[in-house]
Amino acid sequence: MHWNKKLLKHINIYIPILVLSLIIIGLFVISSATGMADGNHQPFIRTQIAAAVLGIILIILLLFMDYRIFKDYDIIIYILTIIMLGFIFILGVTVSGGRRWLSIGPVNFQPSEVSKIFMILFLASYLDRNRNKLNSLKELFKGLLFILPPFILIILQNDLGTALVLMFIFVVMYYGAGGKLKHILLVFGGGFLIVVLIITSHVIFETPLPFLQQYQLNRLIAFVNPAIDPFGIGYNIIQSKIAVGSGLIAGRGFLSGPQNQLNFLPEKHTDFIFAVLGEEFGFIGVAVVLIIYLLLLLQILKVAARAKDGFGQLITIGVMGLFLFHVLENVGMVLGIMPITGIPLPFISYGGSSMVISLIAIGLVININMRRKKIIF
Amino acid sequence: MADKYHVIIKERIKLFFIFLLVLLMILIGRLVWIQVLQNDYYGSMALNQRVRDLSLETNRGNIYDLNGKELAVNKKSKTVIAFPEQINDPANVASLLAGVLSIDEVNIRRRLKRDSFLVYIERKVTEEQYREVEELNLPGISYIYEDERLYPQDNLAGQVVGFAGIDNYGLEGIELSYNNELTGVPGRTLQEQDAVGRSIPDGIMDYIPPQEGNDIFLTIDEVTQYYAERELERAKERHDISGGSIVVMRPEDGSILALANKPDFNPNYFSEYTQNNWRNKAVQDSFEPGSIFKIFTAALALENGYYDMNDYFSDPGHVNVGRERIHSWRRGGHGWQSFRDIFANSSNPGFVKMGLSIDSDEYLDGLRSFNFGNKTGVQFPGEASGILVPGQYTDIEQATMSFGHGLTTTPIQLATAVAAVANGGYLYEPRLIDRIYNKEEAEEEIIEPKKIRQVISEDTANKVIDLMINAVATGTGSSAGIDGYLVGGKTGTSRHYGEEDRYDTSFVGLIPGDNPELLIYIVLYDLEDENYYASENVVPVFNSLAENLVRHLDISTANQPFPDINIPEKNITIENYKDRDPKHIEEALRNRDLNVKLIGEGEKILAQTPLPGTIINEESTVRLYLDNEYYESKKVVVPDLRGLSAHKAEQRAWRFGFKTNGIISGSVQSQNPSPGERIDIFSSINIK
Repeated sequence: MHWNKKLLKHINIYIPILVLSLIIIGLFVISSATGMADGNHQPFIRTQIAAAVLGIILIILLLFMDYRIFKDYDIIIYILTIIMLGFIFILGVTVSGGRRWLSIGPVNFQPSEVSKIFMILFLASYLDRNRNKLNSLKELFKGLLFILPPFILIILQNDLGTALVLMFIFVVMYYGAGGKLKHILLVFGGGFLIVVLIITSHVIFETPLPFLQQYQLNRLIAFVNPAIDPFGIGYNIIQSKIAVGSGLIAGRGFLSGPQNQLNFLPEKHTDFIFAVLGEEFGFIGVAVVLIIYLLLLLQILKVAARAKDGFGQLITIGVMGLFLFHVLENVGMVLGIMPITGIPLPFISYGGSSMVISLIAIGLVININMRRKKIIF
Repeated sequence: MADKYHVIIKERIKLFFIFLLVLLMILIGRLVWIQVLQNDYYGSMALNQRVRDLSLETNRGNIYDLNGKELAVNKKSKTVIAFPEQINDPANVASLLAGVLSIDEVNIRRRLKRDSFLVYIERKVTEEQYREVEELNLPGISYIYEDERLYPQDNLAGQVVGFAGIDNYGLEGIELSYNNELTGVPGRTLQEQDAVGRSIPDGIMDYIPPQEGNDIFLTIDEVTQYYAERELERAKERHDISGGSIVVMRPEDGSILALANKPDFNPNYFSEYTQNNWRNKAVQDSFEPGSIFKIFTAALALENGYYDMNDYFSDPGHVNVGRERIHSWRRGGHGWQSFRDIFANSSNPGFVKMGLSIDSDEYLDGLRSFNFGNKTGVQFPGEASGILVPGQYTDIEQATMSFGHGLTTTPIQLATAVAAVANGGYLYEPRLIDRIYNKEEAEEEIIEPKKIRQVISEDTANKVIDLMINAVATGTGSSAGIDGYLVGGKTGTSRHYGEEDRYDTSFVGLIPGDNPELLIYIVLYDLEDENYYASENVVPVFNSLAENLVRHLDISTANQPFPDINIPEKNITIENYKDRDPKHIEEALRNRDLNVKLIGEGEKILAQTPLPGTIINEESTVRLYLDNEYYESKKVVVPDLRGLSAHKAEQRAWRFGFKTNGIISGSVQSQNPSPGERIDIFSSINIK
């Protein structure tokens, strides 16, 4: 192992500070959303802290490993991802319409969450190897050939959000690795158009819908006009907009947001936690959190810029893409400018898997940051 | 390490930098839009969805009779409700519920599929119905309590009390006219609620307590009302009538002790009756009053000094008014008669003469001051005013009006006007509400009698009372009377609206006659003409009711000795007129002071009522059939012969055109057919 005390000196101190501050803000908002007023928040807070501690321990363990080791195992990582995602159809546990969980002994985990890290590592390695050839459309399709199997497997688990995360990571990393914007726009613009056509024909001519479940489509449509079904699909969007909108500049105050406290908000400690934040802490609170995210992403990009090798740079860009999509989609959904897909807000939403995976992603970035200089013994 | 590649990747990272900043700007921009610029909109939406303006139910006031007997009260009824979210199989649940409730399956299914927290299935079901629902043991089906109106006395005074609908809003009767008093003021609360509609402790933002409805005590006396309704019911059994009305009033202040009508209804099941049953005919329907109206013609003639009690009138049998000729009911007339006599004998020509001598303005103004043509002001919905002057007004109208034809009045109007005579000349507003009890303030408000005006002098009033006493003692009301009491009264008959040969017959009585404490007005509607003797139909109703009421209400006996008027009754025995010449017989009978009715056309008399051998009073009607078509299929109501001696039973049967079969000693125990049935005329009644 390439380990030296000097490595620690190279650690970007801002990244851990920003992440910790997000986690702490998250603990406050989760407390409020899970009924702190009645003392019901404790199990949630305990789980969230346990996940954070586990994540930090994993980061520390990860720091002892040189990230470059993953490059040698890229094919194995890819195969492992596919096996993991495939296994879920045999052994998976169904939770609220999506089959996402896998139990191994006492541990329950979501292979789709893990696949985000694995695919970042694999794509970084793959793109780094082919970085000089990325200026042709053929290469883009070749890349897509690798990303499509996990993408489809995740969609089949009814987890459209995570599938889109993978696709977004691929796009960001492909572009970061030197792919042509023109090609990306051509392929994904075309793909988007096809999807729109399929959905339109489903709505108008009732043709069958490949991959998508009806409820996922309804979420997509409701985002365009929530008033179509204000007590059904549109309810989440309307209530979250009301929550954020009634927050005003300074917010209703901690534990004092009526939308949150009176349970008008759905899934308020997980996917819609940003709405609680907006209601109780107002524009100021929301802006502070968004700026923390921005600073974190910028720091990650800084790490990418200074990384020692292409592999490290691409991993970092991939992690940036991962967080960017989560924040953009989650906040956009609450503000009614993105469809509802149900993906959490990193470090803030309640949820063990998401917390651990996000911290591992940060661990990768720190690892890369730490090893940016040649080590001289 | 390819430097070119490094350059590219660094360039890309810079682009990502810019990309991130732009995205952040978009999100912040959206936030400013929602949180700062549209804050009012979302803020009020938030408030609207969690603050509920709840109406707080209050108890509807009760309705009691004068002595506090319950006429309308509240009971808690179960309303079947459903929580649609908890129901998995709406189709099955709907079909099960439809089996036990009175709502159809399609309707229930539609309600169960509604996207709401709670839906009504059926409101205010009976205990048995709910028990059946309970036995189905369906998840998501439950009940809430709602106030339902209960009328413990069923039909009694139903048309007075009226009823309230499913939402406890008065729809008829006192329930309607006093709805505001009864309803009270529902309270209001602005209450903060959570997403599933639970109220939040300390979440009350505004609270106005509900005010209970007031209790209403009617002037109606339950017992008097019961007697009145029972008498009408009996009259309906005995006679072929479509209904009747009775008003029992205290003339001193216009308080109504009973206001009865037939047909009636049970307000607990009001929807099962027709609107005709709901009608309080005594207040809401008008009819031609007939000779009772002579009371007012006489009063106005006396009041305005046109005639004196000592004046005499000649009745030649008819009187010419313009081109019309009005006949007396007795051919040849009554000859010279005193004022008392023309009232007692109810002489139409006499009254026409009297009526025509009064100045028409004075006459109409006088009648209007008695409130004819106007509402009495009784606090009851839908009161009819009657029509005093239907169109043009000439001598002919005034002439017919003087004996009570050509105008319409309501029973309550007539009773109120007679009460004004009975109490010495003061017109009161009919008083139906005695007091209102305000539960909130624990205060009782007495509704004072309302004197409207003096209509005639006390002197005139006393004279008219004297005429009425005399009419009962000697005249057309002579069969009216109660042992130990002096009674004043007047009969009236008029053609039932829109029908040939059917009559409305009425009687107004004052007890005691010399100082009236009680006024009873009775009208029987739509009576067939063979029973057209007031003494046979309406007067017995009066006698029976009055006898019960003087005991129940403890009416004092007469102050004055009975007037010493003793005219021997003139009994006439009817002979057999079969095959005789109708013209001769008619003339002969009329000369014996009998009324004759020739039915059909023909040369010979084929049949007759009463049957030969019947002994009748003068002024009774004899019917002579000249054409067999008129009696062969004719059905007549069987009279009640029970309790009569053999001779009296036979006489009574003969009078109606029936024979009796069977030998009895003592009184008739039973009869076949039973009273009230309609059988062929001239058939036999078996008696035992």
